[in-house]
Parts: sequence; C-alpha cells; structure tokens
Amino acid sequence: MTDGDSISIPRNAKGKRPQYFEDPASDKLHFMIMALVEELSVTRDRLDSVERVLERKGVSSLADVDGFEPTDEEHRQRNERRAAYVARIMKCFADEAAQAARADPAMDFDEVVEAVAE
Amino acid sequence: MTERQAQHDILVKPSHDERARQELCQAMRSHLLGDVQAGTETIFESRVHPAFKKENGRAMKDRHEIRRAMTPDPFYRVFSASLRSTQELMWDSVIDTVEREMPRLQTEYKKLHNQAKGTLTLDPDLDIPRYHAAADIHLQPGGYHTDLAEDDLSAGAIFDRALYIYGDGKFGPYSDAMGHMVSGQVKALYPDFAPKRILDMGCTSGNSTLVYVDAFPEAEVHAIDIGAPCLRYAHARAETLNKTVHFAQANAAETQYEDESFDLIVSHILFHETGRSALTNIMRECHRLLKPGGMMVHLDIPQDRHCEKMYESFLWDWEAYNNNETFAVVLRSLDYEEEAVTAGFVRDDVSIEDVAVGWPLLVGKKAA
Repeated sequence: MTDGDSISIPRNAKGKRPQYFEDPASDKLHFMIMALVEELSVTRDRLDSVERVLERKGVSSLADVDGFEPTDEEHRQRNERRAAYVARIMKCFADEAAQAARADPAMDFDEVVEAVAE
Repeated sequence: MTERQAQHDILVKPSHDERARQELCQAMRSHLLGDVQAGTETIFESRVHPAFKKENGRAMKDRHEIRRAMTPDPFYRVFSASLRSTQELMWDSVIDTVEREMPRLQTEYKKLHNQAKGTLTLDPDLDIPRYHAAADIHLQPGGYHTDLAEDDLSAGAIFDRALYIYGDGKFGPYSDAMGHMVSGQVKALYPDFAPKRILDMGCTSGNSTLVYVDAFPEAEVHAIDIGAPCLRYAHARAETLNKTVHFAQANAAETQYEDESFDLIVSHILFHETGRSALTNIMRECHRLLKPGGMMVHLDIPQDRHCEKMYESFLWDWEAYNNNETFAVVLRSLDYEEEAVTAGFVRDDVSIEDVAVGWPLLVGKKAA
C-alpha cells in the first residue's frame, strides 16, 4: 500500500444473523429504526455544534435559541412545514384510505395484467 | 463519568458526524445494558419463570433453560435485536472513520515503523484457526486477521476505536484496564516476582500489553496475535506511545519461541475467543514456554460457577449467541484448574483468583 491510497473495508460480518422476530421483515424494520435513531442523534449533535459555534463567535447565544419566539408569519410557515412533514410520513394511511374510498375498487394486480394484455 | 479516549497519532480521528454516530452507539449500549437489561430480569421473574413453573411444576435448573424461555419473550427479543443492531452500527460507524483516515494512518505507520525501538515479526504462512475463520468474532467485519492491502492495519485501527465505544470508556482512556487488573494482581500475589521476559497472548491492538512495559520496567515485553493487521497497528501504537514491545504473528497454541523462554505469560479475554482443543493446547504451550518457577496468568469473563445468580450467568451468554463469541458457552462451564493440570501444571500450583466482580484469573506456576 502506498501513501495516500484509499481502502475499501468489508461492512458485513461473517456468521448467520439471529432472527429475533417471527417475520424476518420485522428484523429489518427494527434495524431501520435503530439506524434512524442514530441519524437523528447525529442531527441533534450537529445542531448543538452550530448553536455553540455561533455562541463562541459571538453571533448568538444558546439563550437566544432557547428563547426564540417566531413572528406570526414564521409561526405559520413552521406549522405548515411540520404538517407537510407529518403527512409525508403518514402517507401509507392516506393511501389505504383513498383506495377504500374509490367508487370503483382497484383490481388485483393479476387482473390488471390480464386487462392490459387484451 | 468516564474519561475520554486518550488521543495519539495512530488513533483514528472521527469527523463530527462519525463521532456523533459512535457516541450514540456508546449511549445506546449503556442504556440497553443498564435499565433495559435490568428490565429483562424483571420480565423473567414476573412472567417467564412463573409460566415455566406452572407448566413444568418446577423451577428452572440452569442458564440454558432461561435462554430457551427468554428467547421468544417480546421484551427480551427487542432488547436483543437492539443490542445486536447497535453492535452492527458501531462497526459501520467506525469503519467510515478508518476508511477515511487510512492514508494518514499509513503515512504515520511507515514513519513509526522506520524509527521503531520495538520489533514486528509477521508470518504470512500462519494458518488462521477455524475459530476465527468460521465467523467474525463480536461481528467485526473481516475479524482480526483479514489483510485488505499491503501493510494493512485497518483491523487494529477499527478495534482500538470500537473497543472504547463498546466498553463505554470503562476500560480506561487507553482501554487497558484488563492489563492493570492482571499486572496488579500479579504484583499483589507475588511482590518479589521480577519477570525478565513477558509474553502477552492474543494482544490485538496491544492495549493491555503496554501496561507491562511500565509495570515491569526491567522486563522485555513480547506480544503475539494471529492477526497481521492488528499487529501492525499494535506495533505503531506502542511506538507512538513510546513503549518498546516485540510483536510477532503467532498462534498461542503453537508459537515459534524456544522452550523455557518466558518468566510471565499473560492473556486478557483470549480464552473465550478460541476453541476447545485450542484452550488445552494454549495451556500446554504456556507450560512449554515458561521457565521453571515462571507463571501464566489468564483473565476471562465470569464462568457459570462465579455467578451468584443463574440469571446473571444467562446474561453472560448473550455475547455467545448474539455476538459470535461462540466458544464462551462451553468455556463458561469448563474446569480451568483441570485444564491446567492436563497441560502439565501441578494441581497445587494452580489457582483461580477473583480480580473484579467475579472475573476469574487463572494463575498457574510452573514447578521450579
């Protein structure tokens, strides 16, 4: 290996992974939650760093952030963004409800295949 | 509050976000192994054990029965899955740092190697034992031994950073608490013992090894491991910390050293990462390598007999079933003293010392 060379290290440990839940899909969903927990913590740490850098540089203090009061317009924008965020996460409910509400129920996938093959 | 990991030139330096991930894994482990693990015992006492008693008309008789009954319990499942996932995330987060840092580490390694006071002797023909090749112990991808490039030291770099996270800093800023436990106990038991040559078996990144350089300043310190990338890292780490150690790639069950060449042979949680026949052979090798009157001192995780409660013993098996520390299951029921006698030690010269909350220390003195 010469100076400055990069390296690609394997990311998977040899050995069978135990299955913790009845449905292996649940093991995957659980892992995804754990990884999201990790990434959320990264974001929180990063925000904390930004706030402290700003304080150290005399731009704003932690108290400024904690005591921040949005204007009416800022408050409205924030609520809007938050509502859109929640709706995006909960889209699976909206989709199922929309399907159920259709006057003409959706065909099964195989029926669609047959229909378009005609 | 534990101390931060001690910094040195060969230790990887995580970026802001890498560090955030690694410290989250540390916090997650701490919480899971604290409140949540304690909660699993409450679950066991309040519903799992009563249900077993009702069905079988008796209490459980060993840790294996506890495991079979706890494995399907929803509380324990989520605990286990969370701890397992955290371990996987930990390696991944550390590998990010090591991959990014590798060019710098390579430069440091060459510099340190070229001006080294200690030595590094590798054996590219060494057979990697089955207990390492079959599954990656504690889920480190590639284990201790996989060489990914010329002069690769990634396995050691990964291990040294991850060990600190895994231990939540409880192994100390240099992750060398076990070396202090063992050397401290040797000094307490034998205050006049002055070893001239010391061998540390299964040294990985050499954290505990370096303790002996200071504990016995008159001694020449040697250390072996099967993993070349760990040894390169350990060698560079020792040099940057200004400790003179002679590292060599060898299997502890069959080393290249001459008969009667050491006064003191130590290991720190080596046994449970080996196998049944290897354990006997390692002790035989210790007997061969020790000078008359010399001592072997091995530290490992609590055995079944050292656990006050059966539930506690069951918890110690978690790493075996969920973290590829497979041999621990068998090891935790073995008779260490009997093993040492089989290897050639005299029964009266073998003892088990309790160094810390049930962590056993096998001490064997070779007849003078």
